[in-house]
Amino acid sequence: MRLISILLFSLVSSWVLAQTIADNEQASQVSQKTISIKQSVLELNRNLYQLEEDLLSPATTRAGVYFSLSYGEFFEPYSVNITIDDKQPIQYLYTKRQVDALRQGAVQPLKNLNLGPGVHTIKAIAKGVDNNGKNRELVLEQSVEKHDKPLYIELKIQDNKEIQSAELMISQW
Amino acid sequence: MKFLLYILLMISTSQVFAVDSEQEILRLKKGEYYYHYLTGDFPSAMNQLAQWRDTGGAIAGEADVMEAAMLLSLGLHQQAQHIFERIQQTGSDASSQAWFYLAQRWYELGHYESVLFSIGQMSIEGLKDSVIAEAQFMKASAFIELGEHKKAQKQISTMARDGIWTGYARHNYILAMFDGNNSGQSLALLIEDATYYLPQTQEGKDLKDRINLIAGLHYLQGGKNRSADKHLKNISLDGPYTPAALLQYGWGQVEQGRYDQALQPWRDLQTRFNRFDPEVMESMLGVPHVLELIRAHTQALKTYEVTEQRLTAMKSLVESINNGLGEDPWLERWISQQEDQSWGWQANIEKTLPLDDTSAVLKNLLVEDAFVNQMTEYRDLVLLSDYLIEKEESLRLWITLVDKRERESKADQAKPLIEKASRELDIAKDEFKHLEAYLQQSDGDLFALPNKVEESNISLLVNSAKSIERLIKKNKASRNVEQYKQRWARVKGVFLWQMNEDKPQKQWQLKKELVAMNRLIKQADTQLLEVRLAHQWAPSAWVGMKDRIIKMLAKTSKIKQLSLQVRNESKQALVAESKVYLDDLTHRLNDYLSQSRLSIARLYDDALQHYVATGAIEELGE
Repeated sequence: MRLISILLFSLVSSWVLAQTIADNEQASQVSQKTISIKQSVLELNRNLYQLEEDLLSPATTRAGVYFSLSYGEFFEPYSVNITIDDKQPIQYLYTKRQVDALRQGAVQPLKNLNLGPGVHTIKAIAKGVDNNGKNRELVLEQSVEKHDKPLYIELKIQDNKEIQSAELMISQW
Repeated sequence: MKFLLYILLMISTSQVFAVDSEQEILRLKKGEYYYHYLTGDFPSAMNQLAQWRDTGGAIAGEADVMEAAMLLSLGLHQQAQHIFERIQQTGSDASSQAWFYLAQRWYELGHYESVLFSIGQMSIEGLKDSVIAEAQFMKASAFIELGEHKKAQKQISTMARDGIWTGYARHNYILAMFDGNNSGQSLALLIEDATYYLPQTQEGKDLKDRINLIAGLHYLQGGKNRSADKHLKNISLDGPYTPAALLQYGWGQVEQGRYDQALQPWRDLQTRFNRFDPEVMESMLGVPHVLELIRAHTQALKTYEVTEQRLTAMKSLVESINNGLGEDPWLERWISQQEDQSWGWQANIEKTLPLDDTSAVLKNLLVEDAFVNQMTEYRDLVLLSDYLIEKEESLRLWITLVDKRERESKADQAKPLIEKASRELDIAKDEFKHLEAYLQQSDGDLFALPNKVEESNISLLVNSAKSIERLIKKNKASRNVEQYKQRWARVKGVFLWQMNEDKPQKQWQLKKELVAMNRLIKQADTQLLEVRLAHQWAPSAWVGMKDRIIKMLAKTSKIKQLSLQVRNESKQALVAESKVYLDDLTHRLNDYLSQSRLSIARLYDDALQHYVATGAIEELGE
């Protein structure tokens, strides 16, 4: 009787052990498949991003507006407000993390636009605080010319140590 | 020769400009990558990295490191490790942040030699204090795991005294001391240090409780009940370690024969905490056991009976939850409560389940890291499949749009309209040139720029001149033509005088109108050019797009199907594991039920024996 009990117990134990191993193997297989899907999605996402870019902005009308901060000692931006030909307003409010990223040399892609060939007028206002904690506005109005190639417009807040202040500048490529 | 030099200069200048421009665009793309990376938007950073890689091989090494860091951030460890192993062999100027992420991954996987190697590659300059502290913790813990306790101790001594990571390092060091059967004054001092220098935050308080709990358990096992009491008493009454502390404190009191003092923490445990907590369940049987020890048999019996009823109710609840677990949307409820919608390793996930019966029963399952990882994986799959469904729908809409645009492009009448407008503009330009020439000639023409009255006067003058010529030809003696000639010349003179007086004013007016006309012609020219370009680009802009979209749609659908399938498998695995847990819980409840029923039977039997022994039954019979 005792022997039968021991046998039964060992059978049940081995079944439970086998079940646990099977469960672990299933979980591991699912993990492998999940990793493979994540990689496929990343690759697909990359291709989709490129396709959507090409569909929404053909090279002939593509224009990108970027925003950067050089050092940011004399100015910390809270928001930017940009209009192109008094249309297409771009507004952005910054978080602490985003300002930190800009200070570390990151360049923010503000917006991708469709611009026709010719001259366009950009008006930009950057609101924020200066190194004394006072509210300040940096204002800029300038013309840019779009040809048949993609246009890159960079709005940059640059520290000017000579005048102990920051300036809003624009560059285009 | 001079001309040749000029041409060469022009070519070299334009090439320099092109290179500068490319460099600047590359700088913008690199900056954009960093922006996404530093703000935690890793999928966008990966997209940017792909574009960045396309720009040339000069930055491929740096991009490798960045990609590995990205893959780590997204939880794709194997690929990241593969890249890093290659970098380890070939050497690289990888960023300290990237090495830190790798060290974290190695640490989680338990590859402590690699942890030390990765941390060795880091430079602390420019890193946040919290990152440096965590790296120091990993280094100290790796030394502990490798048995190099002196190095670990040295590492801990360099860390900030009151940092949370120092606390965790000390905690691991204390555990290593317990495992090595170390005891004595130095261990007591180490525990005291570890619990004293901790930040006054919730995490700091919880860690303090944890250190006190492991110390209490260690001393209980070693039979040092007073030391155990000291540590267990120091554990707060509202932390995650409170149930374990209350239970162990009670058993400590029982060990010391202070039965009445064991009851209070256990009753507290039963009233304040989840009845499915193992500690609470154990205390349910502990209370009547202590009552038995203090010979309060009737109370013990009643308590066993109440416990048996409670355990039966709990068992039926566990069984009903277990039976309906497949259909119960507890996982979906948990996913819907998450605020962070990103997937991957760095997603900020709320690990507690929403409050209901199912979560109350499954609460202890979430203590296991493996199960939490599986839940997180399932959540990632839900997010990914939802994303793929959305993208599939979006691609279908794009196909519809491209089709519509193709049809409209074929049917449009823009070309003849543009040609007609172009011809009309050419006519206007000719007229403008004609007027410009006329204005230039007007200085030499006496009768230039006449108005309507002047035109009629000029024609009158011409007609009068013809009449005078006719009279002269007839040459009749009776007529004095000379008089007419003089009068005509006088009228002509006055007329010319008046016209010349008005001419500058007229010239100025015409010039002004010509300038305005020129402006309008230029505007129309630009507009026509833009329309012409737009018409040229419109069909060509989306040429080949339909095929690309169809290919992408097929790929998306395939991955979506796979993700939905794996999502189901993942859920099934989670449900299966939960069922195993619930089965275990049922077995445990059965054990407790058996114990309580056996105790009830035993107590009744004891009472019966007692009655028989004392003759009370016979007396009752009589």
